[in-house]
Amino acid sequence: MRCRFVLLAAAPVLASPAWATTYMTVDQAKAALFPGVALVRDDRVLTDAQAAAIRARSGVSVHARTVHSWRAPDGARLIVDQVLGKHENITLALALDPAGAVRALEILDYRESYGGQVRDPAWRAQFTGKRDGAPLALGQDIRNNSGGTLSARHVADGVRRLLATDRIVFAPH
Amino acid sequence: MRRIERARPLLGTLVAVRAEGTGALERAVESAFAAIAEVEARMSAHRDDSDLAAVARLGAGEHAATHPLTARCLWLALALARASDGAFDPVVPEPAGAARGASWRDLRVARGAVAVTRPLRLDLGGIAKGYAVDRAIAALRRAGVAAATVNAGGDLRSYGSDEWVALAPRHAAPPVAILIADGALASSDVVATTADRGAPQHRDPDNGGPLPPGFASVAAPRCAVADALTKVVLARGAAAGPLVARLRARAFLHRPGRAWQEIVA
Repeated sequence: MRCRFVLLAAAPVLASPAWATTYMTVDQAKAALFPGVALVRDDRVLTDAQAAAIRARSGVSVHARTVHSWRAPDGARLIVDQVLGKHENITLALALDPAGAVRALEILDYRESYGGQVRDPAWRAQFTGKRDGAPLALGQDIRNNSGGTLSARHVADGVRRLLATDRIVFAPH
Repeated sequence: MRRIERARPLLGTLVAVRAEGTGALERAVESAFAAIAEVEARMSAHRDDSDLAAVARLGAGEHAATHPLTARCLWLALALARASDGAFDPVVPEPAGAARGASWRDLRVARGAVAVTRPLRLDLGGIAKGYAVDRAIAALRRAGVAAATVNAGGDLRSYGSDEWVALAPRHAAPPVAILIADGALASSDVVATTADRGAPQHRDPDNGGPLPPGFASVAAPRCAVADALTKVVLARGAAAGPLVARLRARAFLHRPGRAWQEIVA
């Protein structure tokens, strides 16, 4: 093990660094989550009524009216969406099985405008297999006892909103 | 050589896995995420079907067979509790002011079985994240990945590459960074405004009350050890020095309004 501790110059810019990481492109996510499957683009634009219904069902506000989605022949679906936090912006790819349950979740990119670290070992999210109607709630599915779980909480909110979107916008399962 | 990086929401944060090598990197990264998910499922303090929930159901003098993965983590947690004289303790403490309750001294781990001398609840929140990172690194090594980093929201371990980590306490502190190579780094933050609602591992080992506010980062060969030592450093401050040195770790502490301090023997 090598370890070096470095005191940085106390410049204001270092106190609020902007970090951005791209993990996967949309095409890589399609290939990884639906290998060998011919996905058909199936975007939708939410009506006011749909946006309100999604909000009511998930408890999460709808920021973007366009839903970026791809449909598999067996009814499975890929949704690519952005999760906006106060200091961060996360693009996620959610794969749903034909019954509307979470098959997989990948983070495509992550940007944050400050250097806050996110850590909270008591928080336990279990996205896989979560169905719409089984809420991903802080303090229940998700244990949170400090302010350091912004990313995790926003991703959980985003998944809940997309599960409601799937239920309301795409065919009822 | 190829390099990929993937991120998933696990362990209450975004876990990023970076892998560099020539083989099937995607499959290797998948095995790393699977290792983390298994630790998370088995060692959750909040799921009725976890191994820890089974221990919580034990009466005085009873024992239960435990999955080897959990038994190994518990064994390590117990060793660190003993070495730190309870400054790190996987047993959930009684509320402040209550009579002295169960502690690590009531826990036995041997041959894949866990025994308790009195009923108790376990919370591996102070070590399981680091343990999960270690398991993920082991999976990447087994898969033949040449260089890798597993980063669980700032708690990370890497081999074959250098990692810089900016330390970001929530209270105001001079900006610092740590370079870690072929080792692990973990950090813990006790925030003044929420210290009284802190997690069990952020309780004062002597009286169950809140810990004084502070931020600790520990570098160690293993992430589980680094993770647990952050709690010892937050609780004991400079007195943690000999244990930090014995475990071949390095520890850095910042208390609000003070300077950064390296904890040395």
